Parts: sequence; structure tokens; C-alpha cells
Amino acid sequence: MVQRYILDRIDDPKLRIHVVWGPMLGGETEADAREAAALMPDPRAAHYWTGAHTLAEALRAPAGLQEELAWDTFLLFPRGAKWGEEPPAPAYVMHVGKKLPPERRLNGEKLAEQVNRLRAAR
Amino acid sequence: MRGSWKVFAGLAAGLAVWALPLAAQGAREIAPPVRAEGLWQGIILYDPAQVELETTVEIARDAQGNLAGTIDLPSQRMQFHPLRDFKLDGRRISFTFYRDSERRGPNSPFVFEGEISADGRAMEGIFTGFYNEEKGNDRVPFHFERTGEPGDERPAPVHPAVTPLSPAYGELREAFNRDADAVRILILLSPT
Repeated sequence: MVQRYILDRIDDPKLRIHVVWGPMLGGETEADAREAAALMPDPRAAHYWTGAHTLAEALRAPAGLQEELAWDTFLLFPRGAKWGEEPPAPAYVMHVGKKLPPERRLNGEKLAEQVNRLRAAR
Repeated sequence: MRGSWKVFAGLAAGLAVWALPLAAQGAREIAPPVRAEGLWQGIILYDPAQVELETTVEIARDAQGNLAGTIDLPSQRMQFHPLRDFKLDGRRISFTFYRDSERRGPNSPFVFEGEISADGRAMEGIFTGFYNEEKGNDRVPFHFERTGEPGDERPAPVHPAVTPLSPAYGELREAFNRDADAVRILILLSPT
């Protein structure tokens, strides 16, 4: 979806996607991540694997989640956002199946709109 | 004169022979046949703009002249999975793959029923098989476009590098900050 709606449609060499693959369901492996990474082959996307939930925990609050881990979330950051001791607050969050507003449920068209909004901001 | 009559009679007979099958068809419109053989690529719109499954279907004729083919569904880790039960009636087409389903049990059918466009360049219809809990059904649209012929060379899949993260995920933090002049999306996903 990100490849199709964002990377294929937004021709901006500055745009960056960081995809962290991990054990959201339990039992996933690094080999699974290597397979899945092929679904988003654009060079602007960097792929990572973690076998732990630490990052998903650290991003819980920035994603606006109370109890759930931040797996299956899409966090959008503006230019200038820096990651210090704690992750920065995203400008926009989309999700799949989380206890977050339903209008923030993942939608490629909406996410592309938000990306373009941030790209246009100076 | 006699010759002219013979020509007229011959034409009339020819017209009658030509017109009869049309009349017999009556109300039933039969679309002109089109070629199903080809390399087709497109998407299954499981949940538009949310979950769209990239799909490649290759259809050819086997040694007996019957339609045969395979399907690739990378998101389901399916490659060259056999297609069966082809039916082609004019432009109407259907075909099926069989696969174990958590919901429906082993060797369950997953069915494409659609129509090939008059110019033979597109195929669209309904795919039945992946149950959508929210929508409460398992029928979703698909749309394919003909991108080549059966047996055509396909682009080799690109496998990007995957960086294992250290416990404090410093590799991600560094890359994120290195691109501070860019709009960035951070995504956390299961690979399965």
C-alpha cells in the first residue's frame, strides 16, 4: 500500500520511509522480514528487523496509544524532527485495528495527502 | 437475367445462413471471443486504499489446447501457484486456485470471475475467497491489465537489505536523524 500510494506516486527523492519488521503476531523471523521487504523495494525505503517489542513500546505514547504496542502503525514526521533520547512526536498517525480514531485507520489516499501536506510546508 | 436471379438467390441464402444463428441467440448477448492467454498484472482490492494485493496471473494453453495458468500473490507468499477450472465464454472468464484456508479448511477454492475488456487489455471482476471480517463477506473486486504474453521474462524481484536493530535501535535513530531534512514515515509491521 505504501509502495503503491506513496512511493509510486510521490516523486520526491527526499521522502524517506523507515520500515521496522518485527514480532507483532509472535513467531515472525528475520527471514520473513527479508521476504516482506521485497514488497517495498523503493530505494527511499530502509528496512529493519527487530526480534523485540522495545521499539513498539517506545512508540506507544507518541502514536497516541494507551495499552497497545505500536505495531501496525504509520507515523509521519515533518522535516526537522529529531530523535533524541525519546522518539519525537509524529505529525500524523495512521493505524490498522488500534484503539485510535477510526478516521485514522490506514488509507493510502489519506496518507499520501498528509505526506504532501508536510512536503508543501516550509 | 437468370444469372442475376442466381446471384440474388445465393446472396439471400447466404444472408439467411448468416442471420439464423443471430436470431437463435435471441436476447442472449454473446460477446465476441477474446484471448485470455497472456501475462496479467494488477490488484485484488481487498480493502481499497488499505489492503490491496498485487497479483500476477499467467494464462497459456497446454498441449491439449486447454487454458492453464499460475498466480503470484507476493503478500501471500505465493509464486507460480497453479490455477485450475478455467472457463471462457466469450469475454466472460473464471478460474480458481486452491489453497488451505484457516476459515474454510484445507484445499479451499479461491475464485476469480470476471470479464475481459473488448480490446483484450484488461480483465476485471470479483474475487471470492479472502474473508473480510469488517465487511462480512469474502467477495472483493479485482482488476488486471495485460502486460505481456505467457512465458515473457518477468522482472526479478528486488530484495532490499534488512538491517537487524540493536536493543536500543541506534541504527534506526541515526538514519532517522540523518534524513532530518526529509519528510519521513516510520512504519512498524509484521512481515507475515
